[in-house]
Formats: sequence, structure tokens, C-alpha cells
Amino acid sequence: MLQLSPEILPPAATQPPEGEGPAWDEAFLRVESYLRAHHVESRVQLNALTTDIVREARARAGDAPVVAAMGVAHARIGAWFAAAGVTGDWADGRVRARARLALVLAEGAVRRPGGFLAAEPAPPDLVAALSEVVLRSGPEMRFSNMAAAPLEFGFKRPEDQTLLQGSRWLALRAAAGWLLITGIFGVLWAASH
Amino acid sequence: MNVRCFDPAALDPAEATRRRHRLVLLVVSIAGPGVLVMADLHWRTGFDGWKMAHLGLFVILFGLVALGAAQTLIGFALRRRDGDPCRIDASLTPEEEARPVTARTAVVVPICNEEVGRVIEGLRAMYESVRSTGKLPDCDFFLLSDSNNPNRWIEEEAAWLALTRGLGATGRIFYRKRRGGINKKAGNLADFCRRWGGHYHYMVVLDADSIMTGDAIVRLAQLMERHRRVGIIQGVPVLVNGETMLARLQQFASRLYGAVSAAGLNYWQLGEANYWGHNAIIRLAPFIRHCSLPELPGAGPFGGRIMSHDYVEAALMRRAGWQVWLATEMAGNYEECPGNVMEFAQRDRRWLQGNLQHARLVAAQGFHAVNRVHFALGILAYVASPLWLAFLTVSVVIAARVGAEGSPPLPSFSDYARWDYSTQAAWLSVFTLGLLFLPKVLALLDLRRRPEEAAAFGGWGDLVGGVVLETLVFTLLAPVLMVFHTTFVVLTLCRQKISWGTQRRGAAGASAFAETAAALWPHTLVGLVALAVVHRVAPGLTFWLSPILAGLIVAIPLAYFTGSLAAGAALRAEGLFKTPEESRPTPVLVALAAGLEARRHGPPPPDLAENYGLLQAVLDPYVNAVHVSLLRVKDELPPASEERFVGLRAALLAEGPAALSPGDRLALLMDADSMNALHEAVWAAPGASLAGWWRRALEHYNVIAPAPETAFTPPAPIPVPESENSHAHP
Repeated sequence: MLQLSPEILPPAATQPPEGEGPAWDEAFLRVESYLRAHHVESRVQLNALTTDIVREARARAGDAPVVAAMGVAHARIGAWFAAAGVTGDWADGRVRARARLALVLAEGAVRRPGGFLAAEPAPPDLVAALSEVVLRSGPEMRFSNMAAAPLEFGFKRPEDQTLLQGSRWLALRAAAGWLLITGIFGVLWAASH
Repeated sequence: MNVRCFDPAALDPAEATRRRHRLVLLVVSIAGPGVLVMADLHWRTGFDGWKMAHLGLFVILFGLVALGAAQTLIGFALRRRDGDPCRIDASLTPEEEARPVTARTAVVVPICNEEVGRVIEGLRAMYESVRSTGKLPDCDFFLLSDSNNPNRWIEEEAAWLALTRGLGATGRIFYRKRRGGINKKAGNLADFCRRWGGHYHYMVVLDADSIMTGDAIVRLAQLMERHRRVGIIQGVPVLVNGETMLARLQQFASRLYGAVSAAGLNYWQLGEANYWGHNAIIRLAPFIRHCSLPELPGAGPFGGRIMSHDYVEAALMRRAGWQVWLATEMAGNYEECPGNVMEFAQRDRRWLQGNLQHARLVAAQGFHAVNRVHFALGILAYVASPLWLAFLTVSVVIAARVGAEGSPPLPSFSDYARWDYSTQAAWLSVFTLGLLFLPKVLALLDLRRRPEEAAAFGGWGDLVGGVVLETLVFTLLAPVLMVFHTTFVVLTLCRQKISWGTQRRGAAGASAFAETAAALWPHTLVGLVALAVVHRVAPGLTFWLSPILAGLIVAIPLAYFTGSLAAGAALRAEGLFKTPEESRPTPVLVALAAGLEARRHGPPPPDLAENYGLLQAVLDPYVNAVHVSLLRVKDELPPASEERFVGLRAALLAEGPAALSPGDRLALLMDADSMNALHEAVWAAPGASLAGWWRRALEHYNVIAPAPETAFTPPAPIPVPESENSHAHP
């Protein structure tokens, strides 16, 4: 059975609750909701699976009902994935996440409603799909060096003299052009006033 | 078939110089007489310091108006002669157009907290459009996320995976989320270039609200293949999908006037055009080598990281010897626009600070003179607003002083035009208005030669009605934007930080009255005070300034009304502001609209909405699995970090998300082990030990509640209406 890390559970979770009835109701609801979150939408299947899981959890003593029932649910899910060929240490959270990822990538719960967690072995195409899927969020990295382009302001270094001269020539041309334009308008102004 | 096509490499540099000289000559020819007439007006009443300042401001502002008019005149003349022969988009032979491009191309969409549905459906439409051309087999798409809103981030991950699965595009559409958004969009793209740029020849850069047809993307790649010295080709996007009145106004105006103006721009820019940051293709090797942005010396607002990266990247590309071209007539290139005045101003505030920073670069070494002009014009585009405000203020002062002196003006300067003082001032105003409205008239005249396009605008009645109404609304909005820009310039110069918000586009851009009133009451106040002052000190000016004062005084209702969806829908029903893209949408726009319609999910429960992304990442087994798989897994955390995460997880479970700061919530979301642990812990914890928020969240998955919606939720069967059932089974 799945063992959850004690640090993650709030203190009350490891204490058996008083009044067993409502606590098991809560456990039933929690397992049912968890399975539904996996897109198990058939009420018949949900009810059968949840009843079965809670019955198994009640047979075990020690943990709070929700903890016990969810532990059994995780174990049941792990067993299904193992039968479907998903390997790894099921107690490891990363392995469990990887299995769920495989299921969503294979669209297992969508394409085969009722197939996930069914008593019958997973169909071969789903098994194949679960083993083949890979999440590729990007191509292989091929690092390129992208150094910041140098920017220089002003003309301070000796080698900038050529730039300075070129720049002077351009500036002179531009100044001459604008002087000519201003001069033309100046002449027009003088002629008309 | 022997077709003569334009070859940018064979373009004589002297031709570019000649074109630029002609433009300057035309601008001076337009602006010169106006300046002389204004100078004469002042001469007639006696020059002083105020009038010198007034004339100086007039020269700058009138010069800008003359530049716009000159560009439009040139564009109009070129289009009458079947277009400019020197166009990059007229440079492919039919054989080259038919040839597939084998070079690897990446279409990249940098996003930051954008509306996920729009981004994903845009990608879907573009991917299918590119695939349907069959001409760009090696094209990959990248969604490059900098989102720091957990709701957006989690939704992006699930939506991306669902998209790739749905399209069978695994290994073709990629998703990357940066842990920190260093250097904003420029840093986001640089990160892509560093990781994967080496795989690709070209990068098509899009914004979250951009969309391009497959043909347009292929055409850009073909142009790059054909012209090996071209580094960047910038497309001219057409505005689409506007729903509010303001958005529809903008898309109508830009669609109608844009082509003539763009032709004029291309006339003088040629191979030294600008890059606008999106809807462009970039040759990656030189971009990686030469265009990484340096930091500017000193602190903000003029130092530090370069905020408006696009102009600088174009300048760096040109500095390295690569041409930058504007593809003025390439079809199938779209973007969206802000839906209301506040969104518009928010976008301008961002651009303004970036453009002001370019003041440092005007004098940087090695840039082409035309790039320096781009920098200067970009600055002037915003600085023009405070200059205009100063011009108006000085005008009032001068009018008051002239009125107080009471001496009659001297006779007119010219022997040829003996106007009295008021008539001369009126003629100058008419001349200025004529220049401002010239682009509209020329665009309508240009359209006369394209009757099919005119029909696609809804016919001449709707077109002229649209132009009149658009002119009226933008005349009233201009002073509102003037006050906004002036405020932004002052804030920037006072080193006030400008936050980079996410734009809301389309229907989400509709304005709310409270937001509008809160943003615009100072405008109304300025308008009322200005009216009172002008009426008192220079009553003769009140009439001339009335459009400006009216725009300010009615700023709140005007902004609210123009930002309204209802007004936009009503105008659409009347056929006003119709554009060819609405009359004859291309398949990619149809696919986008259909995708958005199909994807409308119900909103999350209001009490869970604020942290809905966190909820899904923790509780939903599939969303959690995808999220954890996309995170970088660290083998071992330092003890201090592990202790911190243990504390954060415990607080999150016992007190709910509100107990954690946004930064702490993000830190947990970025830690794979924490997300794994939280998934197990919440589901396995008795309700009494969980925060009320988590108990409510768990109810969300209860079998009696509607199924929670994620990108992985199976589509619900479409309900068949009763009437159809009865027809089917009589």
C-alpha cells in the first residue's frame, strides 16, 4: 500500500476520527471524487470501484478513513498501471505522475471510457500507447552563443578618428544642406518684407 | 516565362539617396510656406520671446505633419503607377513562388499572461494553414511563455498539450516556460535563440494577438531564401477582430489608409526599414551573432536594459551589413488592437518609455543614418504630445498679450496675398487641417481604382460615412491622448517606473465605466479649466480650440462609449467600419473565429477563480502530471530550500492559498516535488485538517457537481434541441 510522507499530512490526518460513520462517508466521497478527477465518468463504474476500494480500506486498521481509502485507491491505480506495462517504483511520486502523464498522452480515459481501472486487462493498443508516449516540450537543445552587441557612444578611442572624420564630412554636408534651405527661405522672407 | 523582378542586392545606393533627398525636398516644400506664413503672423504683431518659442514649436510640429503628408503623397503616386518597383514583396518569380522552402523555420509566439484561448486557437489556425500549403515542411511552432500568473501558466500547459495531441503535432508545436522573465520579450526571444536558434534558418516572430496565413509565412520564408543579404523582413499587419467601437475604428482606418502610407514609407526606407517586433521574419544566424541587446550605461529611464528592442535590433542588423525590408503588400498578415482608450494609453505608455530610451542610441557609433532617423521619429511620435500642449499654451499666451496690447497688426508681408490678420491665420489653419486630412482623401482616391476593394468596405456610402465618423472620433480623442502622452513623458523623465501590463484585446477589451472615470477625470478637469482660462484671457481662441477642449471635457463618456461592445456591434449592424477582412475573411480568420467559438468554457466558481490554476495544478491528476513533467527536476534541494518548501506546503494546506504571497505560490508551483506532494496530500487529508478553501475545491470534483473543465476534459455531447428531435422522430 502507498505510504504518504508524514511531513506532508497535517497532524489530524493520522488520528482515527471519532464517529466512524461520517468519516467513512467522507472517505467514500473523496475516493469517488478522485476517480472522477481521472475522468471516470460512468456512475456505475465509479460506484463499484469506490465501494470496492472503501470496503478494502475498512478491513485495514490504523489510519484515518480518508487516508486509508486513498491509500487503497492509489494502490489500485498503481496495480492497473503495472498491469498495463508502466514500470517503476509506485511509491515514488514522480513515477505516479509519469504514469498519469502517460495516460493523458495516450488519451486512455477519453478514448476508452470504462477502460481505466477496469477489472479486465488493458487492451493491447492502450498498453502500447502507454509505453510509447513521450512529452516533448522542445527540440534537443543546441546552444548558441549570443553575446551582447557592443555599443559605443562618443569618439574617445584613437581608432575612432576615421569615424570622426567620416562623421564630420556627413555633418558638414547635412549642415550645408540645411543652411541652403534656410537661406532660400531667408531670401524669400527678406524679399517679401 | 521571363518575369522581371526586383532584386534588392542590385539596388543602387545612389537611388536610395535620391529618394531620400526627394522626400526631404517635398517635406520642406510643404512645410516651408506654412512656416513663412506663421512667421509673418508674428512679425505683423511684433516678435518677442513667446513668439520665437511658438515659431520653433510650430516648425517641429508642422514638419511632422508635412512628413506624414509627403509620405502619403508619394505612396499615392506610386500606387497609381502600379506600385513601387523597389518592393521586396515584388521580388519572386512565379517559379520561386511555387517552390517549397526546405530551410528550417520556427514560428515563435512570445506570451506573458495573455488570454490562452486566443493564443492557442491562433496557433491551431496557423499550424493548419501552413500544413495545408505543403510548401514549408520543416516548420516548427514555439509558444514561449513568460507568464507569471499561475492561472494563465497552468492553463497554457494543458492547452498546449491538448493542442498538440489534437493536431497530431507532437514534436512540431513546442512549449517553453521561463522561470524568470529576465529582459521581458527581448529576453524571451534571446532565450529561444540560445537554446534552439541553431536548429533553424529563420524565425517568424508573432505577438500573442498576431495571426498569419500559411501562404504569408511561406512567402516570407521564400523571400529570405531568395535574398541572402536580407536579415529581417517586416510585414505590415492588418488589424482584425475588433469588437468595440474603438477597435473597429482603428481597424477601419488602418486598413483604409495603411496601404498608401506603407508605400510611402517603403519609398525612402528601402533596405534600411524598421522592425516592429512582430509579424516579421528574421534570419537567425546574423540575428544571434549581431543583435543581442546590450545594456545601456546608467540607470533608468534612459539606461539599463533596452525596453523597445525592435528598433535597436533592426539597427544592429543593418550595422552588421544585413538589409531590413518592409513587405508592404503581403496579404494574410494580421494582428489585433486595443479595445478601449485606457488599453490604448497603457500600450502607448509602454512604447513611450522604450522609445525615449532610444535617445541614447541616436548618437551611438556605427548605426546607419536612416536607423538614427527611425530612433528620432520614434521619440518624436510621443514627444510631439507635450510639444503640442506647449504650442497650445503659448498660443493662448500670445493671443492674450496681443489682445491686451490692442495695437493693430501690420499689413501682410506679401504683395501677392493681401490678407487681413484673421484671414491669414484662418488660411494657415485650413492649410494645416488640409495636410492632416490629406491621407484620408488620398486613400479614398486610391480606392477608386479598386472597385472590388471598395465594395468589400461596404460600398462608397458606408466608406465615406465611416471616414467622417472616424475623423470626428479621432479628432476628439487626439487631445485625450495628448494629455496621456504628456503625463507619461513627465513620469518617465521623473524616473517613475512603468509597469508592463498585459493587453486585453477583442471582447475582453470592453471598457468599464468606473475604470474609465478613474483614468480620465483629470482630462475633464484640464478641459474645463482650459475652457475657463481661454474664454477669459483670449475669447477669440475659444472657437479655434473648441475641438480640443470638447475632446477633453467629454473624455469620460467618449472613452466609455468608444470602448463599448454594444456600440461596436451596432455600428457593425449598420455596416459602418466594415473592412475587407470582415466581408471576405480568409480561411485562417474563419478558423480562428470557429476555434474561439468552440472553446468557450464556463468561468470557474467565483470563490475559487483567483487561484484556479493552483487548484488544478494540485488537484487535477492530469494537469498535475503535465505540470510536474514540464518542470525541471532537481535531484537534491539544499536543506534550507527543502525546509522552506515544507513550511509553505503546510501553510497552503492548513490555511489555503491566501496565506501565501504570490511569490511563495509561484515558488511552490515551480517545485516539482512540492507539486507531487501536494497532489497526494490534499486528496488524502481528512476535510477537518484542510483549509476551507481546499474543502470547497474538493467539492468541485464531487460527482454531483458539473465536471471541472480543463483542456483535457472530454467534449460534452452537443444537446439536440427539442424541435430537432421532434422532426427526426415524428
